[in-house]
This record gives sequence, C-alpha cells and structure tokens, in this order.
Amino acid sequence: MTRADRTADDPPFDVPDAIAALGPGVADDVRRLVHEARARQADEIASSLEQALVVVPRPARPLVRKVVLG
Amino acid sequence: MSAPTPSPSPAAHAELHRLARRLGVDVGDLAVLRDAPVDALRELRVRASDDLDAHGEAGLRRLAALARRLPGPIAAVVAERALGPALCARAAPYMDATAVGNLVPRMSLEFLTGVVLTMETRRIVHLLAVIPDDTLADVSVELERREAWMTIGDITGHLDPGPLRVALAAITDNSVLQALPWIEDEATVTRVADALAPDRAALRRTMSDRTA
Repeated sequence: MTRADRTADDPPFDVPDAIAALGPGVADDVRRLVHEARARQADEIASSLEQALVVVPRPARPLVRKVVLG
Repeated sequence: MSAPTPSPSPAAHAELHRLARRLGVDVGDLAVLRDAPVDALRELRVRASDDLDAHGEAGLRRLAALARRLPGPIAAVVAERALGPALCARAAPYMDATAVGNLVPRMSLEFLTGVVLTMETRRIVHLLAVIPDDTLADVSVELERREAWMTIGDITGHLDPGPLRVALAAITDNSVLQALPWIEDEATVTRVADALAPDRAALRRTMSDRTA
C-alpha cells in the first residue's frame, strides 16, 4: 500500500470548529497536514519494526519476529 | 496598503511550535493558523496528537512490547538503532515503568535527550518518576545546551516537586527565564517558582515581574 493510498483510505481528521472558522480552506489544509503526519508515522513504525529484526543478535530474532508480526 | 498582520501571542506562538513538532513539520507550514486563538490551537494540538496516537497505536504497542520482552541491553540497542528517539517517545506511553526503568540507564545522554525533545509529556507522566535524579539533571543540562526552551517549559508542568527541584537546580537562572514563556499556565509558573532553591530569590522576583 502506498502512502497516497493509505491517506485516501484514512477517516477524515475532525478539525475543531474554531479552526475551521478561520476561513475557507483552513480546515482542508489542516486535514492534509494531519493525514500526511499519519502516513509518515505509519511508514516510520513499519520501517522500525523491520529494522528491529536486523539489529538484534540472531538468537533474539525469533522473539522479535513474534512481537513484530503479532 | 494592507495593515500588517499581528504576530501571534507568546502562548499562541508556543502552541504553533508544539503542533508543528507533533505533526513533524516546520512551524512555517502552519502559517494558515497564524491568526488562530490560543484555545483553538491548543484544542487542535491535543486532537491531532490523540488522532496520531490512535492511528499508530497498534504499531506503537508492538514497539513498546519489544522493550518489555527483550532483555534490557538488547532493548536499548533496538531503541537506539531501529526506532530512533522520536518513535521511542511515541511508544513510551505504552511502556510500563519497569521497562522504562530498564531502558533509561542504558541509553546514551544524546539519545535520551532526543526522546525527551519529541515526547508528548502529558502522556508519559507515569514514566517521568522512574528517571533517576542524576539522569534527569544531565538531561536538563543537555536541553539547556541545546537551548530547548519549549521542552524545558513543557516538562516543568509534569514533573513532581522532587524531580522538578532536581531539573531546575541543574540549569541557570537565565535558562529558567528563557523557558518561562513556554510554560503552559500560571499555576505551573507558580510551581516552578516554589521549587527553586531558597538562594534563587532574585530569579523568583524576576519571574514574578515577567508574568505579572
């Protein structure tokens, strides 16, 4: 799944009324920033879980794999 | 000629920086929010932070589980080499005090400071208590060296009186004053003033003057 796909599938961020009231387009801008942050975070978590398997000593890898894969 | 746009108030300025940090963007990317009232910015920051936590929760819980299930030295290697400080900070709310207590002494000062710089303090209050006093003092000095006034201001609001005294004792009067505008509310300013050592009466008076 690409970052763009994931962003498109995400439920919309609920922008506070007081922010949306600032002007047209503000809510959309804020929503975009939050959705991009969600996507970045998901990528970082996935990448870190993969990297965890690489950096641990070989005997610990089965345990890490179990935790990482759930 | 249009009137110049007023600068955000210091409190709104601080909220914009907190929001930018949480979203992982430059504060300049939030120019559209420049005129937002501070209460609205605070609500947005908390809501955005909760949203990101909810969306990342499953993955963050797995990262936290690594800290709980791996031996301390290996968990520290995973934290520093696989997660990095920002993800460690986000996974921290899902760690228990025992796991954090095993990790902290094994982390380098530079890494631990990086974690503190990116953590959402209000979500890890239960973990701050397990940080040893000498480590807290070292981190405070490192934050001071990096001129991380916003972070110093933020954590003062969440430390218990004992650790707060330790953190404040480690930094200079000037640093306390630099952090002052970043402290979220008046009650915390009072707590900070009360936690200062008796021989820092001049600093206490200056704080009082600046917040009057």
